[in-house]
Amino acid sequence: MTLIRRTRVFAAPLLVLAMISAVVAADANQTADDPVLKALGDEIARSMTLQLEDFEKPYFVQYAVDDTAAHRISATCGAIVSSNRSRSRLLYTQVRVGSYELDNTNFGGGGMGGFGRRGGGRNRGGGMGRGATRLPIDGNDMAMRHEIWSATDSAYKSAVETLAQKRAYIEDRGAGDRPNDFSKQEPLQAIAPLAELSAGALTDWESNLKRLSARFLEFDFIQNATASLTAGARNSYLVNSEGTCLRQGNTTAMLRITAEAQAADGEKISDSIEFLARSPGELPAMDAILANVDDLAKRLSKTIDAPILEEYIGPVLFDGAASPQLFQELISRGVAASSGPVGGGRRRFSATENLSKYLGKRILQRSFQVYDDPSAGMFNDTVLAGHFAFDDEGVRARRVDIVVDGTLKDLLTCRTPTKDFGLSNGHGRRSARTATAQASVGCLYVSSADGLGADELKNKLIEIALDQGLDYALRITTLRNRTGGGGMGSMADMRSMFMRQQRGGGGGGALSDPVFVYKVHVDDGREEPVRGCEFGDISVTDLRRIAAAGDAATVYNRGGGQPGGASIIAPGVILEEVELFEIEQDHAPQPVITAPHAR
Amino acid sequence: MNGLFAHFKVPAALLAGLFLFGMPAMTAHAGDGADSDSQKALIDIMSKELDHSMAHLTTDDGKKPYYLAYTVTDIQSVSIRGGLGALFANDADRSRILDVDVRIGDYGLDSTHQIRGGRGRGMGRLFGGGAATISLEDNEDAVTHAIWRATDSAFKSAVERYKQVLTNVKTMVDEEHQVDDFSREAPSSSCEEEALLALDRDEWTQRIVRVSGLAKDYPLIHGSSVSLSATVENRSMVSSEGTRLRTGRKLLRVVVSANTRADDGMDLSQSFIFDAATEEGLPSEDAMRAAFEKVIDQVLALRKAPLVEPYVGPAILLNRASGVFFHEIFGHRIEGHRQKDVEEGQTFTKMVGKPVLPEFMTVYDDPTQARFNGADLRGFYRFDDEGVPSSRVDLVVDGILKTFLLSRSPVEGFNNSNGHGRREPGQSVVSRQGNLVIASDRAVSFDQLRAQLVEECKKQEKPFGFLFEDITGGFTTTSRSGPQAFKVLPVVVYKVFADGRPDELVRGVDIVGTPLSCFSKILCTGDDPAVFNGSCGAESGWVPVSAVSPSILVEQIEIEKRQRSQERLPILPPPLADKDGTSSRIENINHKER
Repeated sequence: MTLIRRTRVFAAPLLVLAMISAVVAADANQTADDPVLKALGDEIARSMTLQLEDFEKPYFVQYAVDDTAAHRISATCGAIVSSNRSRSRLLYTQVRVGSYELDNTNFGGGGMGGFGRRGGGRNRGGGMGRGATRLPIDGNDMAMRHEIWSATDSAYKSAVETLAQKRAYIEDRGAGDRPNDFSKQEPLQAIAPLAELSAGALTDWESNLKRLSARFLEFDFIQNATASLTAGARNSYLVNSEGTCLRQGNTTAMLRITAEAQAADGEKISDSIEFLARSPGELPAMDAILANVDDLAKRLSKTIDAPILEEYIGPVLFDGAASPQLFQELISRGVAASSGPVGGGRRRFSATENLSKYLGKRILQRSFQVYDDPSAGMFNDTVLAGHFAFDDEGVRARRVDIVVDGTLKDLLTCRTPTKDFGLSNGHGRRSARTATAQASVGCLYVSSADGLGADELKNKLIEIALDQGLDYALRITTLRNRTGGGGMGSMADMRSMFMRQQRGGGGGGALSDPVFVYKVHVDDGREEPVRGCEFGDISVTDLRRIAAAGDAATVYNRGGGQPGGASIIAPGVILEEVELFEIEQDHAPQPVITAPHAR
Repeated sequence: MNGLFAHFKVPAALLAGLFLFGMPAMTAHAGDGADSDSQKALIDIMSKELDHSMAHLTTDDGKKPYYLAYTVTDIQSVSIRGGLGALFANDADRSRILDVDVRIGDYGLDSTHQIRGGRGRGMGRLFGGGAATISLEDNEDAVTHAIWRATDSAFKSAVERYKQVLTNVKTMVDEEHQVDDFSREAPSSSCEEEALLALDRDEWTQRIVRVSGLAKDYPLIHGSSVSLSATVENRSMVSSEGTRLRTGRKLLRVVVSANTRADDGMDLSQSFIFDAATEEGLPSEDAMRAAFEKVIDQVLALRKAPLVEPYVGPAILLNRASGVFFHEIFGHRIEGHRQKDVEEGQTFTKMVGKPVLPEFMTVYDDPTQARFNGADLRGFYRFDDEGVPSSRVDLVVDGILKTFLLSRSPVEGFNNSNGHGRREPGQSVVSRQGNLVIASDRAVSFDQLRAQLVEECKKQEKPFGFLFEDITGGFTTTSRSGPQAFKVLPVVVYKVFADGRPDELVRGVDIVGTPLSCFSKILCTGDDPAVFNGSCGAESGWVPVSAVSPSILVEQIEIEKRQRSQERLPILPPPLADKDGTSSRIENINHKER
């Protein structure tokens, strides 16, 4: 299946290029007839000869191509709202001029960032994001090369201009003790089979989605609900002048069901369930999904009838998805190494940002281990959105032991060195639609050696609450998904976000609002839902005060099927002291007229 | 050619301009065509929920809507793009957009009344709801549910806004003129046949790819494309006044375009657009090839054309260029809502009954006209987006301003709509142009007009004048806070010399000026009216429009240098040319005739 060849020698770029061609030619079946690889290979050789008088040639050129075919279907109230197929082949061009020690990237002084800024040629802008160039979607080699040529020309000119500015800046102000701009990397070749979305893959899904969305008509209190499926095949290419030549392919199917209800005082509560699979055929059976839909409706029903939680200080059990969401918000950015650009200055350090100052120090209880390992595609029965074999800079994904026995030992790195880390450990990732990669999480695993079973964990929570003299503790199972745009209620979300920003709440170190919160009474352990609250300040240092953890982990996937997707896998945890208080917000009143399905 | 009529109202702010490019045409078959069951079902579902809403929408203190309308626009589109013999995109899309228009108060003063002293514009639809994407099927549960949600949100916003209006009216000085907020109109009832798209998509894909391959012979063309876009809109509208409308239209367009960069870094592009209202009206492959080659030749000729210094003097705007010019400079200023908006410059508000153009000129807007001289007009429609029948409006007769383009928002002295309330689905209606037609009693042949230009140069002791053959678009400020100025962006411009030398193609020219002074300087027109089809962008989104105009001779026009990039030419030859015997075809460009 996957063909992997390694080259150990770090040869002069052009020599390596010749070698790539050889590799490509040698494997005639897989690559020679791939017009994208051929066009990228042909143009990269020419691009390395780019030169404007008085400037150097590039020392590094990289092309990444995202070739995607997707079909998105969405339904509400038993009818299809949209059913769109899309096909695109987007090129991201990177041209580096100068040397590994000092090049045109990592510069903020001129106001221009490095490559890609103008790399889109005439196709830039217009919602494609910076640096993306549309390539033809057929096999026309010349037309493809023309677009690559045009984008590279632009990127090279931008690169030499930026490098000149950067050199002048350094000469003028000095750069201090700065790390190199780019690390060397052993070139890799691997050509995976092309991924394809089979023609009939979605045959049943229009009717399935209608059925799923119609289910909500049975619940009078549900004001809006959608069911949507996005199925796609993505083939990503990466070719660089060091000799790396990769093609990776995968298919995904993401089913998302969202519903919204409104409490009597106007608060809107929405939640969604998601199923990520490697293809539509691998999604759960309809009966199982419908059972989940009914559960979702039940949760919403209980929550809208629940009383407001006015104020609370005490232990909180982050259970289910809330635990990986907690780690996602508190450490997922911080465990990625990054350094400010030359002339960028003024990078504010906040609790959720770079954790490098804690290196060698304890940030969790000694029983905790945290590592990132993108190499596995599944955790138990769950597909991981953060899985990849090679990162977006052509580096093989590696396991990184970030926290060992509670102490921060290592961070995730990409090919941009930092003060503490010189080499990439295979975590350089592009987010959707940008040319530049930065270190970020793939699959982050959190575990504790002395994890408790579910009942023991709840008993522990009660024990702590008793010790603090409380009548009840809190168990939280879901946080509001800040980035999840389920396509519904988004205007209401925007409005509420806007209103809360205006009154200055929910700022800085606060977690996303909890969605499902339960009082756990200390006398008999009974649980009672509450709502309408938000967190007080909470930061990464609060993690040292985790009083206990569970023994079963939950997966939280972000951006399934998209570039930059990530997974956090963590067991429930009890934080000893968390503050919550009532959200003060004017809610839109209940609808004036009864919903049609409730009339 | 590819018109982009732009008209910026507020330079920076959120909303903005009126742009015009390309135009749709309509195949609305009037009368009472056979009802397709599905469409009928949709309008029945809409009516039923409308009645329910009118019966039950009430606030605790008894506020009810006095007007409620639902419009569902079903939009299907196909878009195919090729370049250099390759396929770049082949997409199809379908969506249905619901618009809810609700008014609280009464015809005299309602929740849409302008709030003076700042806020009140722009964000209404965004946060107030009133538009939504709804199910593609005529499924009663889904359609009703979507209408219910959007209605609730629009109603609550209207209630809120009505309170602000009442406060604003009490606290501000009396308004300059007091006119109603909404005109009384008879309800419309009409049912056009459903418009359907009947394109052979595969055949068109192959054709576009084939034609786009022509550019492979021109290494100096840095980018090029051949594209087809086809849009079908079927609209269903019901209102509490009893309007029941179904309309359908089709807008088809083929665009060929090419761009390059001059040695001094100026980016140059040129395109040609074919518009049609039916599949049969689309160009043949030969016509597409010819147009593409012409566009390539033109843009390559422009590469070599000299730059121009700022200049004031006489000029001719060729018919289609003149159409863009009138749309931009005149058309936007006679839109009714600009006459009552206190933020507006109101160039013509007090000019009714007075001369605004030379006495030999007449201007009307006639959306009822489907074709002109064999060309489909994109600004054709039978009912506007408030359900009012469209009509020919004589705006300027013998140079005298008679009236404005009116939606159901009355203007002092004009209490009724003349069927020009338009919007892109999802936006709020304002008055817009449809088919703007410029006519003249002082029309001469083009050759005579050109001779008059030469005479005028001599009279003004200018060595040359200008001939503007093609204008790509432009923009104009109508806001009171900005200068009442305009700028249009010509792409094909010739110097016409007083001493009889051959015309010289030049580049890098923008026309600037102020509207009133410019209109007073029109000396004569040609007898050569031609159609410019485009899309116009303004407060109510993009709408298809046309402008029909003869060539005009202007005594004095001011031009300035265009801003340009400083980017160098590509360093390496394009892949196509990176071999022995680089094509020299680019050197053999014939100077073309007009």
